[in-house]
Amino acid sequence: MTSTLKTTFAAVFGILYWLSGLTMILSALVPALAEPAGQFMIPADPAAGFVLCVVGTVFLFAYRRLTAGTAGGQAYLYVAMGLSLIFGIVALLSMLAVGADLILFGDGEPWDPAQVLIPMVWLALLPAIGLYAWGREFVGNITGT
Amino acid sequence: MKTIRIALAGNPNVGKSTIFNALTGSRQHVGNWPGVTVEKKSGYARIGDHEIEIVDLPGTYSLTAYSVDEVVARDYIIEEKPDVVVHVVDATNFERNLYLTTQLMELGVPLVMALNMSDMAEKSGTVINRSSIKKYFEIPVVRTIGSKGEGLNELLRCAINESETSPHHEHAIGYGDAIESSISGIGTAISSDPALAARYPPRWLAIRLLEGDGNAKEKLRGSSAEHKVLSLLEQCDPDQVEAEMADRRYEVIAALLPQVCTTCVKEMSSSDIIDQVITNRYLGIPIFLALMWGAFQLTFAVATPFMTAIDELFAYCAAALAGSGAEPAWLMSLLGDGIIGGLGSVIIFLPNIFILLFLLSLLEDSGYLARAAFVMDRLMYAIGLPGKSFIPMLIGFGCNVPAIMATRTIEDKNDRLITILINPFMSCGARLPVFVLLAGAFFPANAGNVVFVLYVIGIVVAIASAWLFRKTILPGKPAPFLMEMPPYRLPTFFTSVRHMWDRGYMYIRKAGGIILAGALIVWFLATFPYGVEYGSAESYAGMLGHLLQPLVAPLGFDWKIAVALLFGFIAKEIVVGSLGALYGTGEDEGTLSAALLADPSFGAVTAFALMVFVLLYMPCVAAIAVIKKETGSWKWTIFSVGYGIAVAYILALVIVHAAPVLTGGI
Repeated sequence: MTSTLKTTFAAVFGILYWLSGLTMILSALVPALAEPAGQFMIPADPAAGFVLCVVGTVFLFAYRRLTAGTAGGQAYLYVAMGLSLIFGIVALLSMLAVGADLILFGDGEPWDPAQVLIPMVWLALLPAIGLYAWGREFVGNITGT
Repeated sequence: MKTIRIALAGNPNVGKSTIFNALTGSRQHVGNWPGVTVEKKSGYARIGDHEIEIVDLPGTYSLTAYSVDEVVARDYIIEEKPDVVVHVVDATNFERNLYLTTQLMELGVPLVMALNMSDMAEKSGTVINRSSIKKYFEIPVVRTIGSKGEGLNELLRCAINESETSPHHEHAIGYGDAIESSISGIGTAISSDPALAARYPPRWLAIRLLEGDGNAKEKLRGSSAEHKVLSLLEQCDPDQVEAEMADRRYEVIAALLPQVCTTCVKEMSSSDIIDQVITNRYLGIPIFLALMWGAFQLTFAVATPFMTAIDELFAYCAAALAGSGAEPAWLMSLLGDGIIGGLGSVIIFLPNIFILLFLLSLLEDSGYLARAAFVMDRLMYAIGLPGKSFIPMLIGFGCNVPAIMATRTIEDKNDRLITILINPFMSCGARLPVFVLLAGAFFPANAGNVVFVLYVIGIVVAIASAWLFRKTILPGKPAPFLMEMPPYRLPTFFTSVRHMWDRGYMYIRKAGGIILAGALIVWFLATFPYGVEYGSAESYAGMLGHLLQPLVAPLGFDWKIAVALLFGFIAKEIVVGSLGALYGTGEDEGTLSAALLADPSFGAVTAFALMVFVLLYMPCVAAIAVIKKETGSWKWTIFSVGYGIAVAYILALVIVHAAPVLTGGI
């Protein structure tokens, strides 16, 4: 049951990350796509899009190995969830810093907290929970606990 | 009272220094070898009627000398001939340590194995049979726990016993018929020089020579056997022989390991699991690039409110000073334009630098940077550099000063020198204001792409220069990548903050002082002769600009740019401020952009050429000071500056003359 859940989890998040990443890259390359993508809070940012594609690829590697039953499938899943969490934190801190700059030193320009909800942030929520649920022993091994 | 000398040898991080300190107590002293900067430590211990000098050697993975550390460790064992070599082995990593064991055995020195960290090994379920080691390796083995001082007296007694036991013979590993034939031929040739053969075991020296060990070749120099040995060596491919020999040693280790260690085949640790993914040949580099993007994203984004706060603070100070109406005017100018302006131009970038250093500390403390070097090794090797060079290049995107200092981790002298020389081409954060100003003004629709192209140009020039240096002035092969992969650890916030502060404080103390002094020089040149308009053509700065203008005229630069570039020698941050002063717009970016666009001598091509020139022409004064300190040579420091200026000049000249042709005069 857990194995099926992990496999499905890896596949779904691999696809979600890839879709979001590709949209961000294409929005930057094709200006006509930027507006509809923006309505879904997906900014035109090729570098961030590349990062999402990388995380998505690690998830898809995990899916392939979990499906095939080859060694290392769980390793790829744990690392993908870890990367997802890291980049989620990076994006969240970056957006909060922009907000802090606007609130503290801006010339009255408003800051909408909803701007934080870019794919890199919300996509990290479930993997963070997954890492907590499945990876406690794994993480504990690293932290020495 | 009998006196013996014991050398503590072993891989890095196996607990040699812990054992050394436990054995010698407070009587240790640090000594330098002439001509080398790497330290060895020596101290004394007494047991029974024996006075024992204990020498703690630098950690080394093999006796094939690649790095200064390894040469020091090996030469001490070979040249100084200690009575006993204590090979300190990490029992938790037993198999890896055995490679050095096989090489020490080949040397034929009196050898004792200290099976250190035995408690941790036993805790993890590793069972090492000491009597089997003694049986198969013919080496006495002592179980030690250096941190608790356990087994150390027995270790000393065992070493004393070994020093009084004779004779000691070489433990030969068979390398196969072809290589054995070469070893035999070269060994016979070495034996024809009795002095050489008495100093170095012929078989051992033959093996080192066959492995292409440059240091071993130096030992051969001047010997009557040199000519014959060299002619025999020409018939062999050192790379192939070295690989085959290493394979044979590992085969021997693999064959003996099950006999001496029953549970050395461990389950995969979390570190192993992560490494499967992080060092994957397809995912390794993309993951690395993604993590770097994260680091730079945080560096610039999180620093923004702090930079704004510092900017506001200095603006408030400058306004308060200007509003005070105090006299004399020159003193107010010194305080406002010189000290506050100069200090502000440095401190405003401290948030970027500290955040980047903090993130790099996180990556380093977590164990990832070692993996990054490993992942990039293949690419770096192709341009003639070891993977380790990549870490300083990476740090160079933040600031070249700590990046050049980070080259200390590179063992090979030439590798390190090349890495230092190419580092200034990595576009540091201080150059970004110039790019942002000029790209924003002259390429508004593609400013981001232009800045990206500039970073790529920096990387390409660095790579091309490394290749050129390797092919010409600094020949040789990059050292093979041999780096212990430390286990992953979740870095603690305070440890990383401490590391950040250690490095960042150095930047404040050294670079801050130099840049502030430079800013004061700018102020002086722009202010005097007293009474002229600040930064005008009549000021010393203006006079200097007109003097320099002929040099930069072929690049399409006028006297103002010449002065700004000259001030950029001190720190790149000053270039924008200088242009602002000379164009009479202050440091307001919008006004300065408009003034630059209105200048008929300043077009898009000139702007791009100027950006390329700023990118490449030379590191700042702080970086130059660090290059001097780290190379210990004025010759290389001057070369670095001269080479950078020449490359910048040539590329800018090519851009200025080729761009109108390529764009049809647009």
